[in-house]
Amino acid sequence: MLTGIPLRPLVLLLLALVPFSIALASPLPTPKGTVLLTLSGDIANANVGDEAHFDRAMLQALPTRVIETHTPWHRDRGRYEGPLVRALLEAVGADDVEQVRIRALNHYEAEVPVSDFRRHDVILAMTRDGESLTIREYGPLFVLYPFDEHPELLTEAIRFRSVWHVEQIIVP
Amino acid sequence: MLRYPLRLKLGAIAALVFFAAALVVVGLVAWRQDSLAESVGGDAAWHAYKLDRDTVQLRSFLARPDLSRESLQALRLRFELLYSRLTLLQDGDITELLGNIRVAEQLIPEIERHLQALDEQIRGLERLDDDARGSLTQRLETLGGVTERLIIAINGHLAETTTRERERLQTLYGVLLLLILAMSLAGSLVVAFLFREARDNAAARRDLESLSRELEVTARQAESANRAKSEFLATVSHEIRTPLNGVIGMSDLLQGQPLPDRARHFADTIHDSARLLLELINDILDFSKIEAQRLELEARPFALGELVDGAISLFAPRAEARGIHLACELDPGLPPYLLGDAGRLRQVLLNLLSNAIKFTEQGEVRLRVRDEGDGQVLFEVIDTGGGIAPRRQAQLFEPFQQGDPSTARRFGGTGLGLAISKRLVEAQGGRIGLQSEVGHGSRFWFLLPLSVADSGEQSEETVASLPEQSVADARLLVVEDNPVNQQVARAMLERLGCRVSVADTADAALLQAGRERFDLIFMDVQLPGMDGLEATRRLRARGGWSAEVPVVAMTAGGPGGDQARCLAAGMNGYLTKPLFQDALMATLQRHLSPAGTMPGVGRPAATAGKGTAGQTLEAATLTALGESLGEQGLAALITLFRQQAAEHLDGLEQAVAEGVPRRVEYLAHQLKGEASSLGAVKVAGLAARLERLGREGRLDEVAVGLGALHRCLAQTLTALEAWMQGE
Repeated sequence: MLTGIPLRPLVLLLLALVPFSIALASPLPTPKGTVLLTLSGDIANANVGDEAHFDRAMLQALPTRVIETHTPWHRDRGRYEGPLVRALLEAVGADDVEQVRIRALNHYEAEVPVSDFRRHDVILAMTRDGESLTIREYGPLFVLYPFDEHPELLTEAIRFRSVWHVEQIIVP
Repeated sequence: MLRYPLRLKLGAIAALVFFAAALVVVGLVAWRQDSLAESVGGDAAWHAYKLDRDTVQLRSFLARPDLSRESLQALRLRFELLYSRLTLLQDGDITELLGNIRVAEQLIPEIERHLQALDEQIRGLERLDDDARGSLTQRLETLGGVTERLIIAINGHLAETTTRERERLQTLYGVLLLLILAMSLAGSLVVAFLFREARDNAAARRDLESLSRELEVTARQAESANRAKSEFLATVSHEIRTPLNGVIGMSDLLQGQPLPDRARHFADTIHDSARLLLELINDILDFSKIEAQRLELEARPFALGELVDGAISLFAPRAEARGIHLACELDPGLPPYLLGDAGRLRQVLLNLLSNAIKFTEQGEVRLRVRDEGDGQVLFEVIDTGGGIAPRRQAQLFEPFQQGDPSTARRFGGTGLGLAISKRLVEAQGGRIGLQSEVGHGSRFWFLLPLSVADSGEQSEETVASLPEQSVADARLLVVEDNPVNQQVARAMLERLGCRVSVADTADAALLQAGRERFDLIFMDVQLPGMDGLEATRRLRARGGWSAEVPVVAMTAGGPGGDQARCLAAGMNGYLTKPLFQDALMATLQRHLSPAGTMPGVGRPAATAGKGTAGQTLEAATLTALGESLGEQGLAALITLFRQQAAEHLDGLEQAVAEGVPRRVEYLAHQLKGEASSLGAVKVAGLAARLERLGREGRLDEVAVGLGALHRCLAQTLTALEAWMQGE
């Protein structure tokens, strides 16, 4: 035990440093391959200008999940894999916002509450049954909720939030 | 549920069934709302629209004049996006819906064909020149026509489906409405039925209440009728007793006159007949009291031996006259004093003895008293009479029943005796019964619970045991409204040497008592206007001698003559009319002190402080002796009495041991005289009993009596000493 140093203020100070230390500890690398996803707006970590760009390798480096489920848009059950959306938001330091706007290649756009990502393991699906998703199969990135695990998610609102062809996430 | 009527059950069941059906319909409606067309119909239209729109946009992209080399890349991206729509139409959940639409089923493969062609063409492109743009635009135009038809087909289908769905829903809603109506109807029926039942119940309850009120009124009427009957009986008996009082009193006086033999015989007959009549009326009065449940029982200590002896000696002359032996067996193990109603016990004993003697022609009547344990005393009256036939035995204790119809003619009587006895015994918690055999005799018995009394200190004084004492010159006031009774009372009291004043109302009595001083007042309870109880209360309230003068109630035994009420009003004693000479005498002796005859020096008989000696000693006698002899003289007399009494007792024991009844009689007589002159009334009483036993030669009973005499003498001597110290 250290003597002479007041313990409480020290602990508080350390605690206050924690978010910065994480942010500082893993600065976003610069994407090397084709950029699949751009995060813009009020983000703490950027790598290109004030935006955060991700290529396939960077996305795969994030914590991922495998979701096996049916969807309203596929005939069969599929095995989807991709980074957790909440991990992605944490990586750019934008996990404390209330909602984000997710945009598609075809300019489709949906506002999604961040609480969805905290409550469920929502992923940006990159592969289906091991195969990368093509644009024809709603790729390259596809917001996927675990429908089979939570059948109550099969509502119009969640369908609306399940954006395909994702290319950009805007943090307001 | 089972006891409810069918229609109520049916109504309730119908309401339940309708309710269940309505629930099913509501479920159907909810399920319909969630149906396929509703959920994905909108999606299908949306995706078809997007397909069409992407096609149109791609066409307009190709028509743009500023297309550069990079534009091929953009074209490919746009085509990929367009193609993803086809994937959706073929693989998504709207595929099923599209399969239901006949036109769409044909259109989808066509669209696929066009897109495949476009795909191949775009893939093969190296540059986006005008030719390529032209052919692509043409093909996109064809595709646009097909996608437009798809939108129309889907919309048409949706319109039809929606209409059909709405119609179905309307039907369901209609059914639901009907069910709810039916349910409400069934519910209303149940409610109406319950309401009517509640109303019927209330009416039934009201009927019951009014019925019970009527019954109550009837019961009250019956009760009051019964009470009226009892009152009537009591009043009539009372009314008969009043003139009878005159007959008995006058014949009693007449018997005291010198009469010729014939006239004496008439007077005796009148007297006996009147007494017989009085007994009958007393029986009726008793019975009506018992029936009206107005019987009052006392619980006071009494001497069983004295009671039994008294009863036997009362019948001894009659038995002797009929030539019957009258015997008595008293269990020596019985306690000398018992707690109970001696008067009622005596009444039952006398009745049984009287019957036994009446119906026994020869042989003996035996009274046996035994301790049955557990505080039960068994009294048996055994005779050697004619016996009673078994079929008569059961009725015997019913009122107005006699052993034989001819009995009434032969022996008279009301037939109430045994009925009264039975009720009296049962009222005291006992049982009564009989065993009888025709030609061999009968055994009447009753069993009474009588607890042991500590001593006879509070036992009732036996009238006969009181020493004779002069009541001459006592000044008496007789308050009596009946002229005959006035005459009887005056004649009887004057014969005893008293000076008698008569008042015929309570007011007159109070007036006389205000003017003159009396030694004793006889007060009739029932008087016109103010009654005797109220007059006594007023007299007591005056203070002075009026507060202490003995007042003796005279009642005809009718209603309102209860002993307790008389005593509560401040009276000292109680006499039941008709008046008899001996009862009058006893009353006078009890309540008059000799000193009382001398105004000014009188002392109330039995003041506080002499209470302990009160029962063993006659305070008045002692006071008088003390006044005439002086204190020393009285002390000497008491010492003499102590010696004499001891000698007499020794002599008595010796006489019993030697078996000399005549000597017993003599010594007991001596003791009696000495004791009474000193006011030792109790010793005198016991001595009188021994004297009688000695005369009758019953030495075994004398031995028992001697023990009691010993104890009583010791008490008396202690009391005498206490008296001397008190003086």
